[in-house]
Amino acid sequence: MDNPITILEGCILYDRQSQEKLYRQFYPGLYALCKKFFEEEHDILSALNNGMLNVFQNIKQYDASKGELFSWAYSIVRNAALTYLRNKNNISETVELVADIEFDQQKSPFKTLEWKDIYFYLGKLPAATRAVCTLYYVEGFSIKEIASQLQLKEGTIKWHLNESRTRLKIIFNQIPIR
Amino acid sequence: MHDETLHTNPGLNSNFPIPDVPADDAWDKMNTLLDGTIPPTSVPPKNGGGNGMWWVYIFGLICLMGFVGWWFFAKEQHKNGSVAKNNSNQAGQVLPVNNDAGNQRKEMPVSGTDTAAFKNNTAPVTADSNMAATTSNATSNKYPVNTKNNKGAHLIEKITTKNITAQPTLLRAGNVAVLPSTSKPKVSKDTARNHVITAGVSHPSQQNNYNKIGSNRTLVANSKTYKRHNKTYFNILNNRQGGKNESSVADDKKVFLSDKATSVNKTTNGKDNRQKNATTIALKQRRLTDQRMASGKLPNDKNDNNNNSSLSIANRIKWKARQKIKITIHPPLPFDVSDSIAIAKAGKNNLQLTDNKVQDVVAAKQKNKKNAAKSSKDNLSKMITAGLQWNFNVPVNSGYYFTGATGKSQPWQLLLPSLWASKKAGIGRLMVSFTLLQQNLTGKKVLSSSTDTSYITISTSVIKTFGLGAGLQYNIAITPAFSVSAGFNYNTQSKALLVEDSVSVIQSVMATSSVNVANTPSNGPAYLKPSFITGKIEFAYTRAKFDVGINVQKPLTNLSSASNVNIKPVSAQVFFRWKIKRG
Repeated sequence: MDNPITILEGCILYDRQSQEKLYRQFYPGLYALCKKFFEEEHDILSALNNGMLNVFQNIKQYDASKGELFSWAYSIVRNAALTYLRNKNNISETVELVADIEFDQQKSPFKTLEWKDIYFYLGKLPAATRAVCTLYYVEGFSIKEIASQLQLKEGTIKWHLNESRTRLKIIFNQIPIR
Repeated sequence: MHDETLHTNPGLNSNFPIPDVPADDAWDKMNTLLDGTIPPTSVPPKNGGGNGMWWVYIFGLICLMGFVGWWFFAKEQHKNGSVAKNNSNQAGQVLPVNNDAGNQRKEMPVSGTDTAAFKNNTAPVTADSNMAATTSNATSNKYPVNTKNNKGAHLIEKITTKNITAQPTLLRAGNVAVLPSTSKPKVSKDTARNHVITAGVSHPSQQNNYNKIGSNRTLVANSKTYKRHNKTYFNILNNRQGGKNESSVADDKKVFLSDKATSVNKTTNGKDNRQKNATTIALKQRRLTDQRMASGKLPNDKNDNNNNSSLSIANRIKWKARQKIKITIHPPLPFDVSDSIAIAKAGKNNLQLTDNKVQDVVAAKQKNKKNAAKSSKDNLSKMITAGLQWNFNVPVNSGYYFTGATGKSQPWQLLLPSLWASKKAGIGRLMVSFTLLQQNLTGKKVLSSSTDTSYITISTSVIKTFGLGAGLQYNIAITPAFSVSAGFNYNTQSKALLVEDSVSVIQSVMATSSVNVANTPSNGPAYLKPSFITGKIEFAYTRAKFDVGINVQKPLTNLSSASNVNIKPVSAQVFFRWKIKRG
């Protein structure tokens, strides 16, 4: 494996070989991330490549003292995926705004699941609900952070979370965990 | 397995599932996307790449041209100076007759034979310091007659003829050349104010025969002095034309060859004022003189080998006739040449100056020195061209073109005033400039960027910097109207116009953007250096008292104090230059 510092310096100088090495190195983790939000491979790759394009364009701003490069790239790709999702599905128009909805915070239904099961059950949810569910249960964001990222009200986020729990209960009952 | 803290600390080595799409296919798409947005580049060298090398080449070329021109100019100056120095120090070499500022210098060869004879026979007239040293028996009380180097004082030594016997007259002048008799006496034609003094023979009664005609006077003082009366006579001939002077000298020779101890004084009219001189030289003194002359081996003297003591007076006179001296004295004279005659009259045996004259001469000398110093300052002042200049920054790479140092729109700062002065140096002109308000457009360059825990990236960018500027450049005129320059600028950065952007990393949108002005002493060290140096190339069009042109500057040093942030933007300025004082 090449030295990460060498790869980083090459990417700063827009060296294509270094960019390829970095891409291949991060690809499994970033693909898994994008697959949480999208079902189609085309959407997954589009979101992933958009995120990596931002990584390559802004890699000079990376500050090594504030974390690993992968963490930095992971955040950028996730944001790119959410942007892609927002542009594609227009989340804000499809959800019903419920400001005073009560959300029962329970344990994550995906806590003990394998990756394939997580992807399976997430695939049964609508796109916006899937995104909120992923951010809340899988990625561990708070409702406030999700609202900020998706530019939605917190009540809407809670509604999506309740919706996801309701749907997942039905799915869990119909299709037990494999 | 998922982790609830995955978003804050995702592990690269986590057990991620195998992607459904192979990495090769994904990279192909990524590569296509990169080709459309980021062109592939090879890894450039760390020293900044080849993009900036043309600056170095152009700077080097122009500076080299300037130095070569300067070197040639200095060499020519040095060469001329060396010739003049040699001429003034070596007898028998080329001596300058006219020491007027190099270009007007006349050179006259002096044959070695004449010089040897001159030395061995204790030539009566010396004009060179080395020659004067050979006539050590002549006491030398020096009095300034003319200014040195045409302005300083020429010196006439007080002659004590008692020690010289047969050569009682000694004229010594530091900047006066000796014109041997074998050379035709020349009258300077380049100036109507030159005076030629030739040591010669004259009777006291003829001392008033010199005539002033205009300011062109020739003083012929054939060094013929007769011991009998122990007097020195000067025959001053007013001669406006060189030909007449030659004819008079030729006539003198004829008279001398007549083997009669007579003195001839001729005026420019060719009228002979021949008078028999009752002078008779004592035999002992004559023998002594003949012996000295014999040791000098007079040219064309057939008798000197046979019997030294039998040298005739005619031969002696003939030899002495060759010892004519041409002295060029440049105005302004501290006192008139007639004063010398008066002094000669008063001092019969000696050339003596009275106390009053000495005081006058000293005062005149001091006055001349003051005039020379003042003239030197005036000349320096005349050589300097100075004026004002206004610079218009060209918005090459800035979106905040009208934003001033206060953060508000200040269009007036686009007219940046500066002072400049130039002086001719070599083939071009050396120019210095001082800019009171230097505005450096940097473009939007990110100085620092950080992402906080809420995924808000705050980046600080510099747009402009402000400060003083000083420049040094060398101008070369490629045509009478166009000139090219190269040089360096030293610019300070006392203020900076900073833009702070807050961007949400998640949404990839700009949250806030603010423009701030920071004083570099407080905020700058973290971002900007207090000063930087730029290389400059300039093209100008000259018309009358005004120049208009454009200069391009490329920073040679980094504007940022952070080593990993490289800010060296190319900037351009259109300038308008006004020559208030022309040298």
